[in-house]
Amino acid sequence: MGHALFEACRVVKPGGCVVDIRPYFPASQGNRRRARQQVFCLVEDEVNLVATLARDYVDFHFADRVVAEAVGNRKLDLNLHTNFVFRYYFDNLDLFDGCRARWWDKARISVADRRRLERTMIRHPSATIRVDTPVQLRVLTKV
Amino acid sequence: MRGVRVDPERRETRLLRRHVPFAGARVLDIGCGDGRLSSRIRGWIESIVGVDMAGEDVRRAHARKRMEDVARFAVADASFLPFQDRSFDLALFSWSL
Repeated sequence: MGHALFEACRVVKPGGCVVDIRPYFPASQGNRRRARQQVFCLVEDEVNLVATLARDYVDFHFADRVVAEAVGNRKLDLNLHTNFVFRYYFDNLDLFDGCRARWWDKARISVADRRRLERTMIRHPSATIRVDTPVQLRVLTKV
Repeated sequence: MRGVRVDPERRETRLLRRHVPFAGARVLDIGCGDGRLSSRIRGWIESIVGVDMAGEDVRRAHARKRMEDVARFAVADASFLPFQDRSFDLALFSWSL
């Protein structure tokens, strides 16, 4: 991870940009040690929070540290740091499960949340599953 | 993938367009995956090279339509990028740092 940022700095010309887009889990979402994505079911006009996907915060924290070090060492200047919500939509539970296994294999869903999600999708087969991921965008300039 | 929509509101793309100087840039997409983000920014840049460790994803990126003229994709380790110093205007870590 640290070496990847070093390599990016090497191949970018001075004055060029390094853009860092990745999940961001603020402490206000509860337990800081467990980063969370929120899983909603969209049933007609209703949006219901039915589950969360949790994973350890440590990966994200390490990446934050690597970027902070590069800024602190004046290899990069931070021009912008902003957050937004990135959304995925799934038409059924099988698609959600398949993508969860592929994209979020480190994420865990509690048994209770999983049951709630299944029950909701059985009751409303035409519902859509939406997963909200808080994401940060950082734009840095190579010094 | 049918039945799966990733950021259909294009929030990510809109923010990138607003805040990143893409015009005429030679871009390196590090951890390009299946080329989703490369595909979305292709109209704003001069060229893009996408690299990823996952060969299957790189094959998917190659298969994307309307990318041949500006993009190429390769399997590569982000820790040992096979490019010369100062060869890009912009490096993009798309969910990969």
